[in-house]
Amino acid sequence: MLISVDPSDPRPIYVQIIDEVRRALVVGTLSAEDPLPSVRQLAGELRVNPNTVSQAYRELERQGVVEVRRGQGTYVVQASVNSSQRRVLARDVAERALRDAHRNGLDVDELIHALRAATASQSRKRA
Amino acid sequence: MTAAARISTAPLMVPSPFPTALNGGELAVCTTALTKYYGWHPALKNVGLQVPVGSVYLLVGPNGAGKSTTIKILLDMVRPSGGAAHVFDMNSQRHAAVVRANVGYVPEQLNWGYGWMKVGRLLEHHSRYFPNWDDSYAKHLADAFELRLDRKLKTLSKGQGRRVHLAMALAHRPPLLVLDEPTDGLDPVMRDDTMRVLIDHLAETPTTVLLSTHHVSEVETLADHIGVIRNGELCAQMPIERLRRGLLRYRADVPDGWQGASLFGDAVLRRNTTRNEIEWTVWGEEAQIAGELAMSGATVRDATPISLHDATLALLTPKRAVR
Amino acid sequence: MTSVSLHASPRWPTVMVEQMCSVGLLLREGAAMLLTAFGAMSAIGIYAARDARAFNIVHPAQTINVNLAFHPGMSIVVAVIGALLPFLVWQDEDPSRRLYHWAMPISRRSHSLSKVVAGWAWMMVVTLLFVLTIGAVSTIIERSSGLAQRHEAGFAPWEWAVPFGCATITYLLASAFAVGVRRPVIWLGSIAAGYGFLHFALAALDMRNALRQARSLVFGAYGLFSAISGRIYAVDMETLVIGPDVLTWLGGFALWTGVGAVLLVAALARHVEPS
Repeated sequence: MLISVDPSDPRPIYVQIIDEVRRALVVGTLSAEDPLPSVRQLAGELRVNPNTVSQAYRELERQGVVEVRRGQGTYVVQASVNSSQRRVLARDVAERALRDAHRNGLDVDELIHALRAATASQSRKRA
Repeated sequence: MTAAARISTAPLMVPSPFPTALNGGELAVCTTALTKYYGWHPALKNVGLQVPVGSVYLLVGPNGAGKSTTIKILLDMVRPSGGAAHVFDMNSQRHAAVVRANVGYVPEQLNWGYGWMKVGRLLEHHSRYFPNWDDSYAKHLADAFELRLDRKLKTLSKGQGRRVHLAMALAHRPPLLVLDEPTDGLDPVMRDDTMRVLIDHLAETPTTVLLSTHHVSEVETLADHIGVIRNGELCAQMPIERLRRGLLRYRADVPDGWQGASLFGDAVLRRNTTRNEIEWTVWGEEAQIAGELAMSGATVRDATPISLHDATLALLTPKRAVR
Repeated sequence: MTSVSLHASPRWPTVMVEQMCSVGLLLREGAAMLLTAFGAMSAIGIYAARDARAFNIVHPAQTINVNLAFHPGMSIVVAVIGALLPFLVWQDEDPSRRLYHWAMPISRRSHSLSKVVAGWAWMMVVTLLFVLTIGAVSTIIERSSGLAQRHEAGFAPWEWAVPFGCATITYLLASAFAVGVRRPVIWLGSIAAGYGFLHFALAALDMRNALRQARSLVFGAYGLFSAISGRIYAVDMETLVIGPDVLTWLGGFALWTGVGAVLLVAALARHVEPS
């Protein structure tokens, strides 16, 4: 699993870490019973405050995505790998797209229309 | 609209629109009404620094703003003209020796330690003064920083010397690290390595960090509190999360002849206004700011947090007069 | 009180030992030079004595004597070393730049004092070496060339202590300036120049009583020069030596050590901010 964060992203770093873990679950690079990297390791790799990583892990634990096993580390919970993660992720992506559309002066209908058109042209290219 | 009235007041002694005190929590460093005069020149005015236990506190400000003076008062290297400083609830002047026993200090200047000593001997010398010195950790740090133990300190480059100082400050695992421009003189690779060592240190040892630096962008993922010093005054002090939420860049379309050009007064740190579009950096509740902009006839396109680097620049750059 | 578990300051003996070691390390090069100088002087003395012996055998009527016997007046050598040593000990650490030394987790007063004491201990070692060298050289000369190594005036056993007392006095006085003021050389120079001017002015104005008193500060029975050299001089240099007297010397030694100690305490109490 690869996790990356971007300080210039409007989301706080700990939210970015949570989103990255969720993305890895949906994409499949992270599956049930897999361990997450240790706080120290991830903090060192990302060059972020260890407290930020702990905060993200605590939040993931609270949401039931991972569990802390005493003396062993943090592991992905079986039940978390299901369709609900996909829904949460999709909603996040949609919200971001909506904000972006609004910034560019587009309304929802225009966005949906453009999405359909783009999907169609991409599948035509592939075919 | 209420804030607009404040613009006309004299520029001196305008109360800062930003929070300058934290609410609650145990403090590792606390200064009250700290004042320092050099002759007639006030170097510090009423500084109330509050560094919570366990935080990574970033102290920013231009050169000569008073950062190093504040730090030196904590260690009783400089004595205040007024007010007091406490470190872990100990008066920094009365209990100076114990305070210094609990601080790992990397000073701004480079002539620190003994130039004539070999690096290995200097580490040994330093270790004698700190009963909690961790020898194996010191060796680990020497490896991580690639210290050349058999070289005399004065023959080292700026960056190598800096890393000796860092090893000296870290190896006794002090409850408080006070780092004054710790990455000054380091090249980008060294900076990155140093950050890695510091992060590993924080992950292993519960430490409070007071960090003063010009390179805000390289520590923005590390710091969780910020204090801004300008002209000897602490003009803002808050958790960085609060700054992220409170200081946003608003982009909005405005109609021809828009009447809102002086909205929010001092709370606007940056105003880029064209005929039909504005891009303002404003401090305040997002809902309220966006609401007032909408009421004035503007269409808010987005409100985004800005990077810590941009935020400190905005806080430190004197505003252009708005009339 | 804070919930953080705090670290303690180091114990004083640890600091003292470390100061002994680091000051010793710092003085190593200077000490090597000094020992070389002692050695060279000894060699020259021994060589000169051999020559003199040969000369005396050839020309028995005109004998040459080489006398390197210990004499308390020789203390002037360690007095000079004692006056210079503090500036070596405190090099890189004069008050305007004293940062590292002052940032250590121990009270500044006792930390500075431990450094002064460490320097003093090494000064005593140097003095001992000096006295031993002279003793050894004069013994060698007497054994090898038969030239009597005895001082004409003779001296009492207590005068062996003079070099140690003398080094202590100059070391303490110089230390007080090295520790307490930003520009010790200017201070010491000004004091010497001021004394010289006072002397000159009193002489020019023909104020004999005041002049006597001013002179006795240096050359009187309890004057600085008497305490350093162990010779007790009369106030007027013309009458020269009154003669050595243990109690008078001890009095002068106590007086000037006291002056040095008071100045040192004042210097240690000063808070000088780094510039």
